[in-house]
Amino acid sequence: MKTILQAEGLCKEFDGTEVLRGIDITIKKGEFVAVMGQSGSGKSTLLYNISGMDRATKGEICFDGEDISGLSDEKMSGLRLRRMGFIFQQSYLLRTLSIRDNIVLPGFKAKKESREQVNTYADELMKRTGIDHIADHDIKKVSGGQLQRAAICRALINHPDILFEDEPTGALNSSATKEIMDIMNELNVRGTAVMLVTHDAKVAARAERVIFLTDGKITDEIALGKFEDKDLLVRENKMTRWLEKQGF
Amino acid sequence: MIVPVNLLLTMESKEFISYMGSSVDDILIELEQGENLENRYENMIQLLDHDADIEMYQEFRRVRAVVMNAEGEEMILHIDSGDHVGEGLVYLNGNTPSMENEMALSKLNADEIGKSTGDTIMVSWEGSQKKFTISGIYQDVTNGGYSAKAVHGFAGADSEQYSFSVNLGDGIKVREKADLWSSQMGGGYTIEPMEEFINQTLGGVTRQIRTATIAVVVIGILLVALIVLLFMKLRLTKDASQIAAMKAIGFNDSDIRKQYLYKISLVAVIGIAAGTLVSNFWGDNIASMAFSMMGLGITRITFFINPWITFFLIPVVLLAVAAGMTMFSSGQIKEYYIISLINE
Repeated sequence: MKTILQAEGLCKEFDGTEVLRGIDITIKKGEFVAVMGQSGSGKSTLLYNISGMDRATKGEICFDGEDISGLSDEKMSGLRLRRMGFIFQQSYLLRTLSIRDNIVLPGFKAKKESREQVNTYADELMKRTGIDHIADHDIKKVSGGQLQRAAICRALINHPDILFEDEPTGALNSSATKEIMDIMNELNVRGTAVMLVTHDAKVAARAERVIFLTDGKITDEIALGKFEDKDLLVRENKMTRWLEKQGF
Repeated sequence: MIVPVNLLLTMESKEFISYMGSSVDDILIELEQGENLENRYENMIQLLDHDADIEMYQEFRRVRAVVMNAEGEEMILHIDSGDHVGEGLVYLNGNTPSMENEMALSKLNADEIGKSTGDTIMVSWEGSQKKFTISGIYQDVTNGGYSAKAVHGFAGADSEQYSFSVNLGDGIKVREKADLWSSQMGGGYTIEPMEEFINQTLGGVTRQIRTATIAVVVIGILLVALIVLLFMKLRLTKDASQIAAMKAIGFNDSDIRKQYLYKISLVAVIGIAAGTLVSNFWGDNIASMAFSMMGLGITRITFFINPWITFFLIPVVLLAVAAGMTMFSSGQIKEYYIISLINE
């Protein structure tokens, strides 16, 4: 499988403190990778540095074969817009726009497709995620789970090569979490790579590979294989035992 | 900002002389009461009648008369008498006197006497008496705002002053001609180009208004800058999470700054346009009220507007300041990142 993202010797320092210490990581196209670790281990920092949202202190990052370590802010913004998707713990939808407008905004901005095509795809995404009935709603009038699904649609509107997710289910209840992760797995099956940071073993169990960070270094890794719904309980148990070994 | 600028432009314009009880001419000559007034008058007439550079001139004689004021008390009325007296003035109502039995009064005199256009007034002088009909009321800042105009000759009345309004032919240098006459006639004559007369009469006030106008313009610009800066600071702080989210999904700093620029500029254009229209079309009403309260003899002033300055330059400057401050203050957008918000 072709590599979509690769980082070598990734280091990040904040005020003299090393948060990432020489991380090497490769994510293949269509792969689903989860990142776990104790609080302060550097997992979110890894996500933001590897995706170009933050500048690493040292190291090389290649996206689809191109070195993006030294790209300008403008070029990096363009890359994020057209080829990456981001989902955070909070949806961070724009207050002044409706659900639909939030979703199509990056599509209109990227101009990869016509507005009509963007609108059509947005309708398809909203239907797939079960929020087509609230398309024209004010974001203040929908639930947290619906907002997160809208954020997923927004992240997918430009057909990204990879989705970066930082605790996407952190603010959701268990049933909403399951719904979101079902959508994630479905997207992954269709070919979108996913790099997901989580502290939730059940969420991590959905990934095909989980890496464990300790003090800014990758200390362990477990391969779970491609996700199938029937295997969920087995995977969760496997994850739980593995995490106990990590002292998590 | 536009109102004081328009006021300054009006006071600096040649046409402002119409608020000074005089018409727009090239040279103003005054012979004050004193020794040999009549001889000096004759000498002046001689000079003016024989100078080929003169296109036309008008002469006016100021006499002193007595009328009854609104309280029934006698008051002195200084009347300018001459064939074309009162022409070129700004009348609040009515018009210039054209008949022997007509008289125009300055606003302050009309108020003092308690008369308005169409009323009659009994005027007495040197044993004579005549009833005049008030043809119009005009604005005049000279003589403390108290004057009157009539074509009647007032035979027998002592002259207080003679004045001449002179218009020269095309191409004749006004300053040089005034200086020549001054040197020819010697003392006892005040011979000035009209602009110099205005400067001497209003120069001090105009300078103060110019200083005040400059201060208003500078303060106005600084205020616009400060208001936009403060508004943007508040707005950007409020929008920090939204801005960070937009950056995360792929909008760059320039995209976001342009959005604020468009929004602020739109509001600024609407506000500046409204202010410009109100100031230019109704600003003279505000100035008129101010002048009226000052009791200078002007109750209604019409601005002489320089459209390039008041409809273009000032609005463009204000818009540029608003836009510039928006771009300057939106520079802090580059510090907003979603990771900073999450870390907070």
